Amino acid sequence: MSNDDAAMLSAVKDTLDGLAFKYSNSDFDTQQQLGPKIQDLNNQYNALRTKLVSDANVMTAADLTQMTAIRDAIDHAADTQALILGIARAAFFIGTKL
Amino acid sequence: MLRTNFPLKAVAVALLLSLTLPLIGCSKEKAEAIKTGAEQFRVEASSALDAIRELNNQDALVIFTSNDQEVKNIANEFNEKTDVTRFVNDKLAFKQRLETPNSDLERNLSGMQEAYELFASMFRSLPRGNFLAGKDVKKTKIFAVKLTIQMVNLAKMLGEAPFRFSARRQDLMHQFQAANELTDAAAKKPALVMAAQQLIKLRDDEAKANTDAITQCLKAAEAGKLITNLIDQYDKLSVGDILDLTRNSLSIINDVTGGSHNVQAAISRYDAFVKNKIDADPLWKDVLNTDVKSLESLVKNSSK
Repeated sequence: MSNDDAAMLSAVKDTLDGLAFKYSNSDFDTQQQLGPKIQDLNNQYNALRTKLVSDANVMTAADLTQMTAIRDAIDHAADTQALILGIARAAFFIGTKL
Repeated sequence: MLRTNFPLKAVAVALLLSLTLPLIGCSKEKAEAIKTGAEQFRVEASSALDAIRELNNQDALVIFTSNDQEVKNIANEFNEKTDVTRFVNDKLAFKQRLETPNSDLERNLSGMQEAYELFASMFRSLPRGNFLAGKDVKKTKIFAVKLTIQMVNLAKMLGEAPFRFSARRQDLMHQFQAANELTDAAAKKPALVMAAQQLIKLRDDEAKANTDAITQCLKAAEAGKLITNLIDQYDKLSVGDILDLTRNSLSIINDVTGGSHNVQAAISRYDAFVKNKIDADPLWKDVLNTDVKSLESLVKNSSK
């Protein structure tokens, strides 16, 4: 994240806080003028905040696919191991009884 | 002949299996340690993401902080010149139009949370498949690294661009305004002092909430470091080594939690750790220095 992004975010929020305060103290006609500005600025702020969070994200869709495949492989290995050990136990049991 | 040889062969096969399987895999204790470590990582990361979600909720734009305030405002605004239809429609659509929640950010946080859940779920069957899943466990290291770096990144983001408590800031501005409008000097002074006290409290509360979230990210990063180590060295470590690693990590987690909120120092420590890792381990270096396309090939390579 660049310092510019953080500074921009802070500046946009300062303006937004100021406009929100002004809106709550205004008459209806002034509110009609302020509304679109607040809406636009709030969208910009949300987009910038989302960008900062998604910049921190280093995972990709391919990573998730790969992790799912590994999970399935480990699950499968567990099932196979249980089967092998079951066969081994059965063989040992039969072998000692015959 | 078959009847006389069968018991011997069966016992021999059973013995062979019981002797060779432990050699090709990890012990059940190590497998349990990895499973528990991954689960701990998921829990800590999930708490960190919840803390960021809560900060985002507090940060959302709020113009009127109570219904009473809005009612008073609406009643004051309306007069004989007002266009009734426009006025009513505008007031009814007010929240959808202006106070829109940041749903993209929420989607991002949920996506991240799912990644940590998926990571922990990779090891859910490991104690049952400890002998045969060794090769697959090695493939998970890159994801432990990436998810650890993600938590360090989030901590840095919070340090550089903290969230605010928007509604409380609006209330505070109104409190100062109301105090300032008092004409009685005897009443004005205490009202301003009260507003100033609220300002200091809000400043402390905002700082604490952001610091707590950073601390939680760093706790999660520490849990990520531990699971990365366990995965990386699981075929070399003894059960005693695993216990030592876990104990050290828990003590660092406690340091981070119970510290004196010297968060910048903690962030710097983790930053230094990541930089050190980048120098020492090519996998960490590749995670940070490559773009998404080459990361995908890195994942494929690490699976081989």
